[in-house]
Amino acid sequence: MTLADLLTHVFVGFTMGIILSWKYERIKSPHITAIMVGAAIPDLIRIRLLLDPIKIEQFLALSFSWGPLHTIGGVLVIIAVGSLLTVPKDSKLIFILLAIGAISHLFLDILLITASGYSYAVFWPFLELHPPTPGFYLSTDVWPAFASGLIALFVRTVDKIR
Amino acid sequence: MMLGSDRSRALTVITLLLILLLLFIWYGSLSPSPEKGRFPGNDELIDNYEKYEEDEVEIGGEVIETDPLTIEIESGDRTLQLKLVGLEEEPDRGNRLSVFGTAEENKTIQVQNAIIRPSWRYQYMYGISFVGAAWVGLRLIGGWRFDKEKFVFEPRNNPLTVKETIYFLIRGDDSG
Repeated sequence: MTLADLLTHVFVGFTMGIILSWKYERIKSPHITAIMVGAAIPDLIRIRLLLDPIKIEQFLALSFSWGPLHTIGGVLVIIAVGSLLTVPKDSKLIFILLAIGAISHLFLDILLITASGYSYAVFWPFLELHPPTPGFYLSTDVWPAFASGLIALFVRTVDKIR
Repeated sequence: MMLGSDRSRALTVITLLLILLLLFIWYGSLSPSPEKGRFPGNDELIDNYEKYEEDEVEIGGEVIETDPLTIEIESGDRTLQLKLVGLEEEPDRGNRLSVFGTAEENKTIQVQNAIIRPSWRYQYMYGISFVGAAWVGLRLIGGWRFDKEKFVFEPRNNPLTVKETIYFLIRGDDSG
């Protein structure tokens, strides 16, 4: 499976957070961070580089894959847990902010170029389908981080002026 | 009153984590289904290459030999060497390939499409991903605090800047 670089996702989360803070007064710096955390959540799948799922399968004597961390189902569970670990009056807001970040990540990753032309099981467990990818960019391309970084810098500058 | 709601919160978290574990087990049990865009990959071919002969497969690995063109695919700490035929480009040793093609006899893949990347692109990707993770981590520490008694994260009243957060981490004082 391919993954976009995390920095691009975080820049996108930062940009969305600042723009939302212009519209909604409740959204302050820590809430922008919450969107950025959400944008990083699907990359928790990199845990598989540290904890080999094959070894876990042998240990549990059951099938096992970290795959759900990079699907809508797994992400929803994680952000539900995350929002429950905040003060109850903020939980709903935090859930929404984490979801905005995470969904932006999953959406951008559908656009990644793959060898087969199909992306990944983004809607799992609701749908098993790997949608065809329009193939806009590679996770190893240099330009996405630069482009998203420039946009983030621009939005931040506008924010300072306001 | 507070105790009761804390207990139900803890129960909900535990239930969610169990659901997550079930999702991990369920996803691990899925088999390839090409009609849904899920092709046999590194894991399946390393488990049992012969089972997928004549099938379309999607794999990724590093070029270890250019004549004949051979890549090594990995799954955990297991590896398998596969020969590639039908590729027009001539990748160098050390390049990383993502390949879509047909598995044939003798551990040979008839390539239909391949993405060739020099290995530094991966180092670049991991490098900037680390920068992204560090930035989020610093903002999280600077913007939020953990209340051990209530077992919740709370936004700081006066969020620290990234620079202040680094000072805070070095000095370990929470006065800022």
